[in-house]
Amino acid sequence: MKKEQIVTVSQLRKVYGKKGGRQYEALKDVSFNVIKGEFVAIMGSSGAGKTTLLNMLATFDKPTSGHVTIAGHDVTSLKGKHLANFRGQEIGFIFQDFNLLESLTVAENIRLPLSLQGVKASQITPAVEKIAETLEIAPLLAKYPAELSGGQKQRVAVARSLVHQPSILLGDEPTGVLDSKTSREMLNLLEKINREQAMSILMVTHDPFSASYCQRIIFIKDGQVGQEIYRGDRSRQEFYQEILDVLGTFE
Amino acid sequence: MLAKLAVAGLRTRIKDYMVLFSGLVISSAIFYMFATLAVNKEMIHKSNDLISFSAILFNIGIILLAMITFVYILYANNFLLGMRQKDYGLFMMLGAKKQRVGFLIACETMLIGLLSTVLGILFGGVLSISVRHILEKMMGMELTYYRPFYLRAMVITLVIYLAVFGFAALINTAVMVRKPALDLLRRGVKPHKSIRQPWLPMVEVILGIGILGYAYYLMRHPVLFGQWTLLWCFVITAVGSYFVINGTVVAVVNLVRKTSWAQKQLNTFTLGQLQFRIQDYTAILTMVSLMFGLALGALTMGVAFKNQTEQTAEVSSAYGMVVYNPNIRQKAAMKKVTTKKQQRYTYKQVGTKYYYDSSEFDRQPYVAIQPLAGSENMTTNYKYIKYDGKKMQEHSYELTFYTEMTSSAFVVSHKQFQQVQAPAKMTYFIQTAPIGKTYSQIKQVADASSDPHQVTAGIGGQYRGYVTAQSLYSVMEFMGGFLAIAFLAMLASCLMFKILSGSYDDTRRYQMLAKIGTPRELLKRTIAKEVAVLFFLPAVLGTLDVLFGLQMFKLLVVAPYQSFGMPFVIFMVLYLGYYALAVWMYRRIVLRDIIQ
Repeated sequence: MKKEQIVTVSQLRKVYGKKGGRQYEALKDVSFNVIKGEFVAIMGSSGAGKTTLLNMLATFDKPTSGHVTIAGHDVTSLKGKHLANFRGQEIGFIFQDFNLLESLTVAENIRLPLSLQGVKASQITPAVEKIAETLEIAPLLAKYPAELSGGQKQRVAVARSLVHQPSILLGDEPTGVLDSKTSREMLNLLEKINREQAMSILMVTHDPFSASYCQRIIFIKDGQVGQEIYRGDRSRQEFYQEILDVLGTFE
Repeated sequence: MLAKLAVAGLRTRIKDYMVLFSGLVISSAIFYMFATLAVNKEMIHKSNDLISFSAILFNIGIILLAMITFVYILYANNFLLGMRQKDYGLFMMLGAKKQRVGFLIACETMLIGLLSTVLGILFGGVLSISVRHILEKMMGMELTYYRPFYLRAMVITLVIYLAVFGFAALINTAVMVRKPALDLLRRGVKPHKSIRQPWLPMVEVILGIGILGYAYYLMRHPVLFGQWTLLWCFVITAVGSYFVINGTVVAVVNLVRKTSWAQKQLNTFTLGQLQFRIQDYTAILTMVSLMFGLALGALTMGVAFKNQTEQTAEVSSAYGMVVYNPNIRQKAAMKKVTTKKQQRYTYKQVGTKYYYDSSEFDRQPYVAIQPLAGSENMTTNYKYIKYDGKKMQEHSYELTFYTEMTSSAFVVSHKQFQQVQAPAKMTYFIQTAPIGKTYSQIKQVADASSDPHQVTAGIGGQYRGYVTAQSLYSVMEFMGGFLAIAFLAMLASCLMFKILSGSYDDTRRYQMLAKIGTPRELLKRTIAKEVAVLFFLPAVLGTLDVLFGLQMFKLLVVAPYQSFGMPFVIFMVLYLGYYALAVWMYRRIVLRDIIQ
């Protein structure tokens, strides 16, 4: 039984700079797939092109050539209102620095995607409460971000990214600014969501510990896909070791 | 090297600089234009009284203009600072010494100041040429000593503006240099102010409305505090406005936030932005509302005065036309004036002393104007009373209104009159049809005068009142108009700059909103809504202030409210223009990098 592909990336290429001027090839020729329900990490050192790749997937930037298909939509050709709707319905994005609105309460922050998509007020409140329960932040709903810790803010950000039940969750170094304990909590949470809700997650990270929570890791080097490794049935510790080995051999 | 970086930074933001520049140029142009009228010593001393009086008015105008220009330049510089803050921080991180960067900031500020003032003076000079034309038509006389390009005015304008800019440059430098480079680079990551007690806004609104209500009540009964009423009204209006603005937005936002309307699209976002922003904005919004009211009120009063030129003329004399010793041409022209009753008196002139025969007043009593007792409004409540010979001897000063300013009048007995050593001449006191109709007819008489340079060519009575009022009120209307427009331009620019200063912080927020699925159109509309509240809240308050404030001016003007329409329309058109510009600029700054 062929499993459904949620993300298809084919021959993605991104070049910065004007024609005739100095050009920089950030992505050379990237192709890979993500199966529905997978928890994938994209790893690579700074400048390898992983953030550029994520921006292409999230529609924050357009490639020079190549295609990205997410949940059946060719996102590289989406424009205007269709693009906005796609972002608001199919994608959940976790920013590295949370990107919450300080003048809104936690509940108001979380419900933003639903408000934007025109969901009725009567349906918004139960959806917000449900996701808050899942992420264990229900008692914080009336508070403002300024009153929260870093870990709590990131949970709110995750809640916001899930409340509209997207096809895929994309994360840009979601544990980047968190301490080790909070990072661990965050990664456990993501794993739980992936397991219980069959939510596809694609996460960019440079941290091997974070990557070890995933089922599969794609390594990017110099704008191209290098290795791919799978966790399989191994424990997280074993997988973590393999990741370190792979990273060690990159030099 | 540093200079190169600075210039490069300037080029990328040329459009923002243009807005800043244009506001400054308008300000200095109008200032210069007023200066040419107010400081031309020759013109003031050598011309007649009307021009000198106008010069005094222009001086007052200049002082008001200078005050608001000061505030404006401070705000404009604040905006400038905000734009370049990141750059300066970067320079410091790259190793530039603080003094050098400070020097750079000061240079940039002064350069912009110098350029805009010089351009403004040139532009103002061109304006002045057309203004001279208009004023000559309005005042009906030649401004022979007026010079559109007047060195003294240029110097004064330059000195004052550069002084203010220098002061602003000092402040900018001091503020900037004190901040650690990291703060400058990290601008925009400032946490919002903490949330206040929820009941506080409601209290403020009630308090504010109460105070404003008291102010408006006072405006209806201006005699309560005598001459201090105006000042007291201004102060309490300011205080009341402050509380209303501070409390209303937050109170309304708190109420609306819980409704289901708030859950639609980005409404909660707008509400949140306003709630957190307003505390920062209350001071400037209060100032804008007051200035708006002042400017609109000044313009309305100017127009109102002009509209009641006729009534003013009617109160000045019972006689439409009074002609002393008319020549033949004048007598011919006088026949063409629609006359109700003609009286003739003999007079003898010795130097500046005029003598009249009291017995003539027994036969033809002089008609004087007397305001009715207890009338609030002088311009419509008066009656005519007749003075016979005996009464005229007591009230002979009445006759000085019809001759030159330095003259004196003596009504003496028939015997004494015979003894005066001077040739007997005739003066004609003519009651005419309403001055509005007869004005052009009487003007023919004036034009036929042998001494056209005399004030209103020697014709007294309502005609003189009409011409004087018309020219004076025209000047006031003109000055009021320019001042009002200059005020409006500067206060709207101030508000615009203040709002735009906050836009840099907003860039990140709007980018995030776009990334989570907000259509561009909605982002644009949201910006327009937020700026609209900030722009129109003070405008509404300011308009209310004027509507109530005009009550006070019923003492001076018959129907101030009838003159309100046109100024209000002009104001709203200009204000809306600024609003549109502010929204356009805000969108440009915030939505620049959004990919859709």
